[in-house]
Amino acid sequence: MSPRGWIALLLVASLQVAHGQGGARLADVEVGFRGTPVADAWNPLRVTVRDVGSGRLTLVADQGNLRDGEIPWTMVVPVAGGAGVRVLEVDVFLPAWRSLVWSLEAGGSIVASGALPREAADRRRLDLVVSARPGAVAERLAGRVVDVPASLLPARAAAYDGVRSLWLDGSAGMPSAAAMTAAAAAGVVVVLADDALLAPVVADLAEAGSPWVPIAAGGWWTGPPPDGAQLEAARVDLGAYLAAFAAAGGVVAPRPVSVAVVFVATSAYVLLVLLAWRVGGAPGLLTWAVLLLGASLLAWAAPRPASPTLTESRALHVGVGELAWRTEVHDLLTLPAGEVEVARVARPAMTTTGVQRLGTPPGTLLTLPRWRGATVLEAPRAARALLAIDADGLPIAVGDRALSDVRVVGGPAWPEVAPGRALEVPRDPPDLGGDAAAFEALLPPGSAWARDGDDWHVALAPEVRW
Amino acid sequence: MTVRLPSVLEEGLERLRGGDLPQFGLLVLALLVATVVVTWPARPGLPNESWYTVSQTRSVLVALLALGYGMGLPLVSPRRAAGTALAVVLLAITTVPLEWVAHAGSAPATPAWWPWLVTPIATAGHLAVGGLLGIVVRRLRLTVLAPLLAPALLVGAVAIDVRLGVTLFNPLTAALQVAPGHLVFHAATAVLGAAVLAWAARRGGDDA
Repeated sequence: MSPRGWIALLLVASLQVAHGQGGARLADVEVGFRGTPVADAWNPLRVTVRDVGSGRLTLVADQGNLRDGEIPWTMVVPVAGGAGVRVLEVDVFLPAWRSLVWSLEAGGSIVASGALPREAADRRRLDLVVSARPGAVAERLAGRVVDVPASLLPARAAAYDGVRSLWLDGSAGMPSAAAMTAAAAAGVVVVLADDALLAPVVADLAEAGSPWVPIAAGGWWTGPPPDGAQLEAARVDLGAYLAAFAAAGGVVAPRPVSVAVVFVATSAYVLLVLLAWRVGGAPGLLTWAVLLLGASLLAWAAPRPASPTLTESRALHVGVGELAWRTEVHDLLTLPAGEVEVARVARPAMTTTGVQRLGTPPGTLLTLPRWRGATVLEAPRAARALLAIDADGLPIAVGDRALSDVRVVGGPAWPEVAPGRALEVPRDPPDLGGDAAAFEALLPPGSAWARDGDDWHVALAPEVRW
Repeated sequence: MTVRLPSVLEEGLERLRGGDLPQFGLLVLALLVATVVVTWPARPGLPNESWYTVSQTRSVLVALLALGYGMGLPLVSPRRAAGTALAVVLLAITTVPLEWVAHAGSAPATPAWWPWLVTPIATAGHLAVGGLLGIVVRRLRLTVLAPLLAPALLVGAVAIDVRLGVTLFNPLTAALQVAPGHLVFHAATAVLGAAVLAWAARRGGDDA
């Protein structure tokens, strides 16, 4: 080969190497479906690392404003690395952010970082399309339409928190039955181009031994394709239900010792101390010491709350048939100022500084001022419903527990519904408190709801909606 | 059987038995009772934030009392001075259960042992500072200003701490948080003040 030929060969080889190095990024982080996040919602997070050791991904969303300054919400995700390509898929809650930056740390150094622009903090829900012709749906809906491969649809209900509809026509494959069920349970309207597309879902679920009937809060749309207004009308606003449910609870501050008791006890202590001093000498000193000790023990024990941080947990189930969307709510009240931790991955119901830690052990830390309450909401998930509605529109217990305070919206009420037992004679529905009445006002007529301790169960009537 | 107490303790108990000290003590304790009652939540559901007021009130009242009685220490015999100082420390300790009532109700992040630790040490420190101030005032023949100097000194201490951004002298901030610097300062001042007062008393005796 001539010298020119060698030079040309070297040039080509060096370009090839450079291209290879430039193309192989160490890590990719995708927030939301195909990198389209939804603000104020749980979003799927997909982390791909290549030949990177174990580390952690940190996302910091600043929710602040001009008045309050910076209010950071930090999410920490452990990433298991190693040789080759590793993919991690989890769900994180993204508040409406002013700035959102992420960095991947491994081996004591930052191996990748990035940011999402403020303009991407869009609260509008997504319409996902699994089709070889996604343009047809995009033209029909004036929304945020995202073309997604069927294989990328997760089987986690929380991932669909920011999704309005899922369009499937079978032309680009079908997602797994679990993914479709998770989407429907999360309130997503699953639009099927053909009734027959539902058959594999039913078959898959039956084969897996699932007792769940494949209808859910979101439901299956098998008629003519809907437009945006029809989708909005069909959508169950689980977020509104959850907000009303969260507002109906809260930890009550401990009842203080009455002022009169405090006045009498402290005055008595002062008078007795003065008397002890008056006695003087060793008896006076001994009396004073006993008074000091006794008063201290009494002061320590009587007015002190049982715990400086009070926590109560409850759950909301919203279901159709035997499939429900379940979200656990934790109410906190901290008496001293500081960090309060819930050992769950959750998001606060209000804008606050905090850290969400995924992995083991999971946790959510909120920084709260003294005597302040907060409510945190776990990621929603699909669960088996305990309350359903039979063909006659009457509530039935489909789980293994009896439910109390059963009501049909706009209809009668029963003190209890138990599995395998006939309903008693209905009674006039008793008046509800303000928060419970506000919650019931959100439910469509014909729906049933009941309580199991602090948990609330809602059964939406399918015929009401379709 | 009669128990014989050390003479300084006997003197201290005697100071608490009658005279001006139990009257001032009653005033301090009554003010603290009033503070607890006024700041206590009147009905359920209200946050109990009484400790934040009670602890600061207690800290300032005890500091003023100690500074005031400290200024009088150079004027009396060493036995009387030691007895008075002990009586003031006992009086200061007596106020702690009243703070504990508020502490238990408010459940602040500050540990409950803090007032028990800081009270005797800070009171001894304030007595010593008062004693040193008393010597200076006497030397400068400014005893007429003595009633003003104790509160003025406290205000000055607060101003210095605020300016420096530390908690060394300020009884208001030291009441609300564990402040090792405050403890060290008052412990050192107490030792130094006791030494100077003893030296001044011996010198006064020699002069006589």
